[in-house]
Amino acid sequence: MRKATSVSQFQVFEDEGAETPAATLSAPDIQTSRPFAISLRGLSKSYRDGMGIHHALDGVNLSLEKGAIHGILGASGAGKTTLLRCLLRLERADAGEVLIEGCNWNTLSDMQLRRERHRVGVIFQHLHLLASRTAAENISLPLEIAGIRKRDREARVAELLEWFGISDKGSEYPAKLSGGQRQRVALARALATAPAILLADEPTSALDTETKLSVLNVLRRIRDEFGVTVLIITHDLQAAEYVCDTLSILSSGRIVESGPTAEVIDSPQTDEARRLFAPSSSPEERSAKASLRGDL
Amino acid sequence: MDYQATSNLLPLLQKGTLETLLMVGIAAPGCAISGLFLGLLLTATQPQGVAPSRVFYQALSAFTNISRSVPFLILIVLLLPVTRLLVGTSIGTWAAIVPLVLGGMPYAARLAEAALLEVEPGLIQAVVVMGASAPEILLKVYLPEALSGLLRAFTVLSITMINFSAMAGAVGGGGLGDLAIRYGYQRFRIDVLAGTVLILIVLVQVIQFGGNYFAKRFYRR
Repeated sequence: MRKATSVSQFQVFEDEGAETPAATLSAPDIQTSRPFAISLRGLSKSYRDGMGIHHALDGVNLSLEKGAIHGILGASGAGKTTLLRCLLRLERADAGEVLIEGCNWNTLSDMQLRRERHRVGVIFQHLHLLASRTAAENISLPLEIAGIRKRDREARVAELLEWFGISDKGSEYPAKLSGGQRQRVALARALATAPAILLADEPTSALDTETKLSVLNVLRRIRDEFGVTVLIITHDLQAAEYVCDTLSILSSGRIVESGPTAEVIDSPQTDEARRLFAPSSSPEERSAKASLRGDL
Repeated sequence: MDYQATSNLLPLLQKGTLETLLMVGIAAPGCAISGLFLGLLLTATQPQGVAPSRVFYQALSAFTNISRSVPFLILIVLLLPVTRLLVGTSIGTWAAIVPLVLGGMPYAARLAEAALLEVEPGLIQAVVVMGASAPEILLKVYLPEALSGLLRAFTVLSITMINFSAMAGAVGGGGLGDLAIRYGYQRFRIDVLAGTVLILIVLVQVIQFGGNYFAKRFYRR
C-alpha cells in the first residue's frame, strides 16, 4: 500500500491538461504529415544459446510520437537490452526496420550512420563518463566527434554546464563528482549535439528516491525546454508512471501493450502487463490502488 | 668494447652501465612505440573490437606468438642479416639494439593490448553511439583511458629490456650482463660481479619507482 501512495504522490506533479501523445502498436500511418520520432517495424533478433534458439526480439512494432516522454517497461529478460542495441544499431536486427526521425538506419552506410548518430543522445545506466576527462571535456567529446570548432564547443559546453547548474564543476574529474552531478554531466553530454531524441537506459535504477525524482524531473524539463523526444527503457514501474506520457510493455521480445501511461497502467489488457504491475498483489488490491489514484 | 684497456673496477662498471643504459634507453622506447601501435591494432581488430577483422587479428596474433616463442639468444642469431642491413654491422652495442627492439616488440604489443582491454566495453559503446570512428575511439578513448595501465606496462617492459640486454654480450654488445659474465664469472672477479648486480638492482628500483609514480599520477578512476 505504501507503494501505491508514493505512486499517487508522483501523479500530482504530472503536467496538467497536456494532450496525451500517441504510442501505437501498429505500423505507422504513412499518410501522417509528420514522421514519428522512432518507428520500429517487425524488429526481430534471435540468439543461439545452449538451449537452442532464443528469440530476444520477436517482431517489435512501435511508433513513438515526437516531443513526448515514452517509456518501454519490461522485466529483466524481456528483451530491453537487445531492443536498445538494435535500436542504436550496435547490433544488426535479423529482420525489421528502425526509423529514427523518418530515416531508416538499417540502410545507412557506416559513415552516414556516424553522422545520423548525432541526432540521438544516449544516457546509459552506468553513465560511462570518461575518467580521463574533466566534466567539461566529457561534455565536449560528442562535439569533437561531430567536428565542431573549438570556440563553438566551449560556448556550448558552458551553456550546458549552466543549464544543469554545474558551472563550477566543469574542471573536475568524474571521480571527484557526486552521483547526482555525474548524472547531470552524462545528461549534458547526451544533449551536447542538440539531438532530436534522448534515449535513457534504466536512468533511475540504483538511485535513492530523492535522486530518482530529481533525475525524472530533469528529464521532463529537458523535454519541455529543448523539445527533445525522450525514450526511457526501464524496469522501474514507479519511474515510468511518474514521468512517461506513453507506456509500452515489452514482454518476451514483444510489445504486448502500448498507449497513454494511465490507461495502460489502470486497465491492462494482457496477463503479461498485469503481472508486471502487480506481481504480488491480488486483483482486489489492484482495483483499490486504482480507485485511490482516481480520488486524487 | 676493449676490456683489456683497464681492469679497474669503477671504469669497468661505468662503461658497462653506460652501454646498458644506451641499449635499454633506445630499445625500451622503440619497443613501446611499435608495441603500442601493434597493441592498438590487436585491440581494434579483435572480434569485440571497434574494427573487427578476423583475418587481420589472427595473423597479427600468430606473428606475436611465434616471435615470442623464439628464445632471445636464438633471435639475436636469426636476426643477424637484418641487423647488418639496418646498422651496417653485426657486432657491438648498436648491433644488439636491433634484436632488442624486434624481440621486445611483440612482448610490448601484448602488454599494451592487455592494458587497453582494461578499458570498459560500456565506455567504448557509449562513444560509438556518439558517432565516433574507430581511429577516434582508439585515440580519444582507449589511449587516454588506459594511460595509467600503459605506463605500468612500459615499466615492466623497461625492466625486461634490462634482462634481455644482458644477453647482448653474444654479439659483443657489452653492458652490465656481459661484464658480469666475462669478468665476474670467467675471471673470478667477485667485486665486478657484486658491482654489476648492485647497479642492476638500483636501476630496476629506480625504473619501478618512476613507473609507479607516473602511473599513479595519471590514474583518475
